[in-house]
Amino acid sequence: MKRALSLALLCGFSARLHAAEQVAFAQAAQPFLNQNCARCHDNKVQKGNFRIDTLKPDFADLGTAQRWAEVITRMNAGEMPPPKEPQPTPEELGRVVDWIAARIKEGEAARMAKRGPVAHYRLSRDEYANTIYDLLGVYYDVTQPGAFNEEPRWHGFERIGSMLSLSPSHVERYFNAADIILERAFPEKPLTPGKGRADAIEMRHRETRKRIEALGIADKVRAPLWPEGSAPAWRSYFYNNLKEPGLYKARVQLSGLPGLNGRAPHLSVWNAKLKRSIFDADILAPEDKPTTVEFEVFLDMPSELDFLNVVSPIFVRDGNHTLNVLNQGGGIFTSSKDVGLLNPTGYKLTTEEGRAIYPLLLVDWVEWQGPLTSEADLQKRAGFWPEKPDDMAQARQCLQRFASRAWRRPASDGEIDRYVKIIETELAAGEKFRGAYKAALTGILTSNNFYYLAEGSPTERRDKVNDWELASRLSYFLWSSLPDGELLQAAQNGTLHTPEVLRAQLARMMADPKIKRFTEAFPRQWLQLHKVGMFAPDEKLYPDYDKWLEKSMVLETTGYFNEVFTKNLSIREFLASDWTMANPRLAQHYKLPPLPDGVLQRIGLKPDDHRGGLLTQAAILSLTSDGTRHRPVHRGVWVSEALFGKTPPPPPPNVEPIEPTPAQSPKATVRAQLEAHATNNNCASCHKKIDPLGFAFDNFDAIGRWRTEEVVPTGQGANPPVNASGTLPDGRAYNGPDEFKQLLLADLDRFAPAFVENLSTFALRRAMTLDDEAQIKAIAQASKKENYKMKALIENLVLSELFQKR
Amino acid sequence: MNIQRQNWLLNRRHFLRGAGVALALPLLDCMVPQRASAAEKQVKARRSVFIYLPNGVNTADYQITQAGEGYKLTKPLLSLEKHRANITPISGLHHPNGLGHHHNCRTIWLTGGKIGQSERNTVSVDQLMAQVTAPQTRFSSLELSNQGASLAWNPDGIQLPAQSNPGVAFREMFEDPKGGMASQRRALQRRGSILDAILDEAHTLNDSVGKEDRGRLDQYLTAVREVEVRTQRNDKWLDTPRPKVEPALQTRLNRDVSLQMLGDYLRTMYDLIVLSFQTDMTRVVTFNTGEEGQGPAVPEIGVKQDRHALSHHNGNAEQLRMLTESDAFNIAQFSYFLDRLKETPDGDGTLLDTTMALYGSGMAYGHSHGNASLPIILAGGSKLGLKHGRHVDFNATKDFQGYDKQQAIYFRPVNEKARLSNLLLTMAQKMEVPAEKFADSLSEVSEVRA
Repeated sequence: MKRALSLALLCGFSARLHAAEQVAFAQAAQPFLNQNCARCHDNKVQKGNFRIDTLKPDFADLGTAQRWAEVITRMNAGEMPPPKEPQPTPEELGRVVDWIAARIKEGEAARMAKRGPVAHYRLSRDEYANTIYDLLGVYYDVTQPGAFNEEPRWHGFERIGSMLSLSPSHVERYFNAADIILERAFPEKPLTPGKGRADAIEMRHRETRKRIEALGIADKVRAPLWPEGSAPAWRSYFYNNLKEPGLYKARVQLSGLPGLNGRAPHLSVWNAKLKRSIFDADILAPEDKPTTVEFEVFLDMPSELDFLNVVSPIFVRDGNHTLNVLNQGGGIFTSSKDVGLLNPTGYKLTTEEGRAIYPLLLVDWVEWQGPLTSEADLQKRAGFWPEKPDDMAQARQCLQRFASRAWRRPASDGEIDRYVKIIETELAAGEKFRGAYKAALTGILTSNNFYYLAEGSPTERRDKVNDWELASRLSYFLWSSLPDGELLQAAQNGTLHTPEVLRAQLARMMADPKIKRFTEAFPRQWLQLHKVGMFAPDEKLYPDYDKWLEKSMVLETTGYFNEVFTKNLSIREFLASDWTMANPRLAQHYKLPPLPDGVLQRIGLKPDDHRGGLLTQAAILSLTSDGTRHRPVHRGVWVSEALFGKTPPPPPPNVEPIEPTPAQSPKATVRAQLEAHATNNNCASCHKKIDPLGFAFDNFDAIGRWRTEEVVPTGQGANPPVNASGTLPDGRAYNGPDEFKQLLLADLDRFAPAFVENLSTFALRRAMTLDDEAQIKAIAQASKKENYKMKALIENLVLSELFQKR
Repeated sequence: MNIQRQNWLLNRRHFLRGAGVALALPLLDCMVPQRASAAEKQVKARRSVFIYLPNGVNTADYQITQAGEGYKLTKPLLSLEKHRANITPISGLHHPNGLGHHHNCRTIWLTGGKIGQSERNTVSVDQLMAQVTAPQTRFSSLELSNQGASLAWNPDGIQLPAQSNPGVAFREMFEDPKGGMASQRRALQRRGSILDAILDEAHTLNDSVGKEDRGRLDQYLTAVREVEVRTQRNDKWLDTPRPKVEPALQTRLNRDVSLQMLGDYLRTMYDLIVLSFQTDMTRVVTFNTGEEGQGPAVPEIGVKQDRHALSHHNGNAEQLRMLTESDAFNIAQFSYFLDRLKETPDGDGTLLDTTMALYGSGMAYGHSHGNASLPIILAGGSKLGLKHGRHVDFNATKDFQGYDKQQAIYFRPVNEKARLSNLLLTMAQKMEVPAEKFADSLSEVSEVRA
């Protein structure tokens, strides 16, 4: 009956498949599949939501071929048929696996041929911003309200071609952005830089300045910032001469006194319009020896900035008049020695000895200077604007130069004609030359040639990218931006694809400061760091958590990647290490010795610290938690995806939820609850593979702190001890995260290709398929000789066939 | 008549012929459905608004247990008592494609779409409505969202961006762009000639792309053409002055409000929606009042955790209590919105009579992502042919064991045929969208049809 049915199904798609292929399939694979697989995967039962009887032997179709590849992977791994089911002989199984593998390989050419002659990849918003900066020396904040929306992600990657779609709103936003950008690049009148200064009186006691001056203490007044306290850093009425948007340089003089608990105060400069911090630093400077910090920032006008002292909240927010008392302008702070002018009913800020009770900032003044335009930025725009107005020949040349640079390839005369015509139409409509020429530039920036990366030629079939496309691949991979002059020159010469030139260009690019964009963006996307803080930790359970800790967590992980890259270490360091990157806030979070200064720095670790490698970093441990509890299953899935490139199948719909521990039952760990739950065979088969990868980290709570017992909010009795032991699907056992990391190290050869796959996904802006697998393995293999050093992996990828494959 | 402008339109005509580009036509008499009553036919403007509440509700406190007219509003719903004649709470609706898909539920709330690795979302019902109403209003639709993501998806399944700052939304609608009419017209003309160049360029590519990329190019062409249509529409509207808003109201709406003051924020947004309807700037609005991952806390009543954290309450009684308070608070603001619609005259009735408002969530029991039997309230629109006054309970089937055996009904639909798409279809039809089916709808919801 079963056989008759699947044959009938087979006939259903005979029209599409050649009869010969069908017969071959019916002979070589069909009987085996019917006998060994169909029992659980047919029209009646679909374990794992999978049916073998409807999976067509159409190996020319990529999606279908991928599924067949999954089938043979499972059979090879001994997962299927499951051990408790009747087993085929190894010979039978081997024969069918080989036959299917051969068909998959044969299908490759057909699958490649199906791809279109031209592929388009839209720039992500971050890439757009970088490209604009490198093209024109203009800052355009793509995250400001009304600019561009966040890009949709695929497994954390923000630049996957098939995900980055385009709607009319996008086009309108490109128009708006181009107008603003070009106005900044080619302003009608040159910008006039100015200076402004605001002292503590301006920030806190504007209305009573005269009275303070009369008291003779005007030069002594400081603005105290207690935990979560703020002082205005920029108001439009502070600096009447600074009205133009642009790049501004700030200098701030302030002291930073750690609280009695040792926590350093944290200065954050908050932009109210963008709703985010634009500058962050831990400040350590004695009351009588203030320090000066400097930073540059792009400001849109009008702007509103505040200095904040961001440390975890100390005062209860409501039902308590503390905050109001502290926020009153009445009290004047001059020195911890002289508190006579402070509000007598307010909270004490310092002890009798002058030590801060809570982390305290004392701001003296801020100076602003701008808008600034650097010579380097001006140089970028050179040659794009005609010197003589109304000279159409020169205008055409400038347009050609601009388009060729913006489009990352030579623009043809025919293409430029369209934009020259815009100038003519605009002039005819009575527009002045400046406006008319600017309209043509707007056209070049809103053309699909600008915001799409195009690969391939409409007129010829190419399997490799050409040198222009290769230049863009390289620069968007490593700089998230357009190629520079040297890369374009190499493309122009037609030599970029040769190994010597490519190697030399790569070395140059990796030494360029723009590589920071790669060492920040790649780990953020690969490790899905956007999830950090997505589920804000419960204030009651984690009172010590604050926004600066959250930011520091991400800084550790991206800084760690940067260190591995810069020092050209082995990717083995991602699995385990005796060092990490930390700032004072993180050091305190990890219960490590206090750090001497405020920056992110490399620190050595001892075995007792239980840290090292990526997996025990707070960012990773908290992004796999939900704000109240750690999630072992989520952690397991994360390890499987990020380290081994395998996404476990999603749970079937409508699983019964785990109910919380009733108040009268004994307290139970999350693990104990999960284990009680996973009695169902259907669930157990998957969870057996996922959960052990997560249980290893049960020693870390939802914000990544070490623990030996799990705090359970409901239930009776003592908090249960943590059980962080387990057995991997292949039978190897571990006890605790440190042993688990050792097992991972033994699997370095499995991690390497998964890492290459992630790197390639980022570089090539697409999901890797079965047809890339062999090349990915070859890249990993070649890098093994070089001890899997980071730069060796990147070089082997860039020089590979895969990197130049279209 | 501006001769130059005519030329420009003439030059551009050939770009509008392409496949898939339907210039929206004014609504014709023959398109009014046959069964519409005389009163329905007289309605000048039909409006719809969709409001999303993230993370479901505390179902234990929220669920109304009596079906039909004599139902009792539960604690979190009490603020709606005064609107009883104008609302219909509905139980038992679900999106089959949403079951077991966690927080995808906001994404598909108005689309009923199936989302997966390879599936793109589909058009949301508000955008179908907007296609019908667009020719009559300055803005085809208004997308609002306090935390970024909008509820609206275009026909290509692409999410439309939303505005979170009431001040910005206000200025876009009611303030003339800077520079006066002549310069605005020049700006539109300039955009027109740039669009000409861009489209001309894109056409040279048109014939040379492969199947996979074809979709992306079509997307591009459609997007650029739509911008062209919008540019033309803006040009047309330029001669119509924007309505003047009285200074007091202007001061109230033209500002950003912090989410720390959630009530003020929500009421400001609701006032803005009322104003946009009253002045006929648009007839279709979506408003997402919170993201699934971080729906806002309500500091003003002491609820400090975000709605996501509250909904994963882990059975904690205190958290459940606060979730109910947050639910009640949000619903009370919705009740305020209905007050405002009801006190605003429209023709011989009020805005509430000509506006259908759908309030609810794509999640029911948030703690473990149960998204069957969604909390849904339909309000207003009596002149569009809706009737109210009952609790429509699709769970009340003959095998139903009652609401004591709670949880399970929020995971598995009691009634497989009770689909949210049925309700969305019914609303679309009342907006005169010529559709017999929407997404996976099976029928209309006759229970709410007059």
